[in-house]
Amino acid sequence: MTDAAYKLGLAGKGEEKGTSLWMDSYYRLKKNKMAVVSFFYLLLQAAAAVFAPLLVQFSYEETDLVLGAVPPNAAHWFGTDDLGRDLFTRTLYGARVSLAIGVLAAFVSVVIGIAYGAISGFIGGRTDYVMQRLLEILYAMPFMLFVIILMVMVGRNIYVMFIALGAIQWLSMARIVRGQVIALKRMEYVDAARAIGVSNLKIIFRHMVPNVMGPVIVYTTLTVPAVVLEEAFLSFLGLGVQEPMSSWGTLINDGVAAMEVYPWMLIFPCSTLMLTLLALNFIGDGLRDALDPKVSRH
Amino acid sequence: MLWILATITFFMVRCAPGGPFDTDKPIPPEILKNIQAKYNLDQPMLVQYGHYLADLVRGDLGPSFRYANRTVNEIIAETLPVSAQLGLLGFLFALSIGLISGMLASSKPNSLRDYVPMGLSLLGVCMPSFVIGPLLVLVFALWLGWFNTSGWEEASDRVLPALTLGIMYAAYFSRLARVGFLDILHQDFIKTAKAKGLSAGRIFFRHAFKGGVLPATTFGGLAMSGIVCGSLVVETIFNIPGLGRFFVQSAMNRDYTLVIGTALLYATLLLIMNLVVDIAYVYLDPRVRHD
Amino acid sequence: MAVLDVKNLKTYFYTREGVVKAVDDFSFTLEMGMTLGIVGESGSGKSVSVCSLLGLIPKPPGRIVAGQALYRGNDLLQMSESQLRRVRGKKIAMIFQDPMTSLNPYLRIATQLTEVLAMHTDMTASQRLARGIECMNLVGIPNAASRIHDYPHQFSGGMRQRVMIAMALITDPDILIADEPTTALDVTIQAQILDLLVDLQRKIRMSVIIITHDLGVIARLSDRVLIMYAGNKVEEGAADDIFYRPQHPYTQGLLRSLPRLDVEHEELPSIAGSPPDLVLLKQGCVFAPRCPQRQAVCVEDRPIPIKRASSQHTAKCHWSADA
Repeated sequence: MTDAAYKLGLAGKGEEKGTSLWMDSYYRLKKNKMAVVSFFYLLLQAAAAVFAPLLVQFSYEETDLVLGAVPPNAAHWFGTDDLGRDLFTRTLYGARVSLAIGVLAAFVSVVIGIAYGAISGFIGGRTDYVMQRLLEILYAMPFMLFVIILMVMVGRNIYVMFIALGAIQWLSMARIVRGQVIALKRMEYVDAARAIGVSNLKIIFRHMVPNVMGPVIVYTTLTVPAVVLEEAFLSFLGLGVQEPMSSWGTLINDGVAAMEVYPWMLIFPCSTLMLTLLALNFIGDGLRDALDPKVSRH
Repeated sequence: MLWILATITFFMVRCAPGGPFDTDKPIPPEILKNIQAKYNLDQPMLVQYGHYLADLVRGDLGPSFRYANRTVNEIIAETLPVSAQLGLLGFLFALSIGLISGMLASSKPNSLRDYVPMGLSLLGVCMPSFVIGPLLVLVFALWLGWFNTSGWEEASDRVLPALTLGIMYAAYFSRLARVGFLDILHQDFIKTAKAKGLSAGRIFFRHAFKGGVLPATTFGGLAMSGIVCGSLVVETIFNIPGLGRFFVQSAMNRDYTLVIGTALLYATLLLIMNLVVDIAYVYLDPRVRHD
Repeated sequence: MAVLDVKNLKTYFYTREGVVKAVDDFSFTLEMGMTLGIVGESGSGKSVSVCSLLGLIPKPPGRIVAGQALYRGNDLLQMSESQLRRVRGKKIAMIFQDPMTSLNPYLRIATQLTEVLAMHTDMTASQRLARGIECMNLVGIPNAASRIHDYPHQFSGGMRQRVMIAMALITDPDILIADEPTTALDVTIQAQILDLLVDLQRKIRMSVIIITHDLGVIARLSDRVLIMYAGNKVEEGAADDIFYRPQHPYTQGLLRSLPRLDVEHEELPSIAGSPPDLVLLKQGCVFAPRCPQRQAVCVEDRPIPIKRASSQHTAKCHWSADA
């Protein structure tokens, strides 16, 4: 059976001979239909969010109490909420907040995580030991509670939320990066580089960074949905984005309250959130399969 | 460890602007003074901190600032059993459904038996609990009338909140169990077991089980901390008199002692949970035991 | 008397890239108490062929397309899963290549060693344990009575392979299949395991199939030898015939590439080219693209086995000596 597996492996590789690792991954990703569809969906979503002010004729905050809540129609694609605000507009503006928070918090977590993990893994020894124990302690912390306390104390500042959510996401990232760095440190080509007198800094940037990139990219794509969900969670508790600004969390919160009378107020923001989360998860999974064909594809 | 936590929360809460006795109407200064003297709030912060720590060592979390004449210990003693019951039910639901569906999926990959639970679990991962909860209420309480919409009196009141709390983690457990079992079922020693003429059932439950549930086990600690956070929302949705609801309210009300006390309690619980996970890990993987 | 008679076995894997003919026309007869060696390089289908016999190939993508495997008159390939289970482990036992991964790290040796007995016999727990210790003694594991309660990671590689062998012998099987039993071990340990196998063969009279790419192993153990290339049996004969009178150009090439102490080499000769992609096999001899004696007919027709008059010696070549 090992023979067969070996053979099958060979048979699969043939056509992609001569491509680089990245090209190889790119082809594998392109073959993953769900990931490609998800990618274009997200692109569309992001573009719509960025250019929201140009795309819609309604304002996200202007109320029209005479109109009230109307179901979806030609003018209001997603209907309006009980204050007569266009739900499509508010969902798009919500996307701005939710996606921005997702991307920024993911960025914060990547920066902290890489720095922490790389230092810990590269220096090793006692430093590594202390840093890892600290990480383990932090792992056991109920971080969302701290974010909640923080949000209450500093007064629901959206920028503080960006940073706070990013700051609690870096733990796993640090762990992954450290693992990669340690594995790479043992590789012969790093020894070889060191033997011919390449400086540490150069080793890090020339050899380590490109190799660590794969898992980091994958984990980042999986961090974004987690953060989007957490923002929605905080907004639901009334600690996130404040009226009249909208985020998906606040919209869903309103929708839940009006669920029985105006179901469209829940359906549209909620499906938008879920579609985005699904897309992000598909891309994350697709990237993982593409960048590291060993781990999955059973 | 807990001491660090207490210190951080203590100063974080105290340094923030606004106090528990800020109200719309200004309180006469002499009354405010009395109140502050009662809770030692008129002393320098370090002295307050010293008092607090001394009480903490004795297991006294102090009086609540907002609920007059009640101590934090009393409030916790009253609400914790409710939250603990909810959390435990949610966790057990997540673990059992997650493991069973994940094992089912792994037993026949790329078949209907795999796609259905995995599709559902993908939905579960993407559905926030504050959407699932109201939807469950709508369908099972309002339309079908099987359960009450909220409250915590009858045994059946436990069902919907526990489901709401557990679904997302059931989804995670399911995916982890599937990956874990698929990984194990492709190991050489499974082929050895087959070559020995063992039945499929024995191979699955005897040879693959421990290794298969390992990835899900490591997630146990994280799941527990997620369930603690989730309980804040679920208790709000279902109007359950548990610790989570008190925590959110006390944070909003700046009820210092209650916030710190609850946070400390949660942290302790999670530390214990992580210990349990570590022990489970050692039990499952003999290689760790002998290192 | 033949305990196992395999005829025209074909096992194909249906993959997205095409049909992989992992085993394509494979036959042999295993006599009682004899040792058969199957030699071939990685990917030649030697493991797949024996795994097919016991229903151990993954289906799908694998499928046994044709063939017959008579074990004491019953066709293994026609048996239901539950019938096969009664043969596996009890009548035909297997040892795998890598003792580091072939033992379950999560279970104690005692459990793994004796569960075959629980499955196939009605021994009591204490009888099973006693038999387990007996077998561990037989394969030369010191302190068997206490070590049987250890976990696999507490054993060295060579000791684990001994455990694997003990596990295979515990039911007194008719046939022992050893799939590359020494490949994953250090050279000195390899020698010990080979000594053990030779020794056991002398003590317990059972039939053995040994699969390897190491001709040295075959030379020490086998009565008969079977050479595989690209899913085909290219030559079969008594060990002496194969080593001293090889007929097939592939066998000849293999033997030439062995280092010899009595000849001085500048460089070891090797067979030019690499094994074919099993999806892209064309008509004609599978070895033709690499064969130094290739002729036009080799590219056009698949040769049939040709028997040498003198002995049970066949080669699948248009040009074998006596043809």
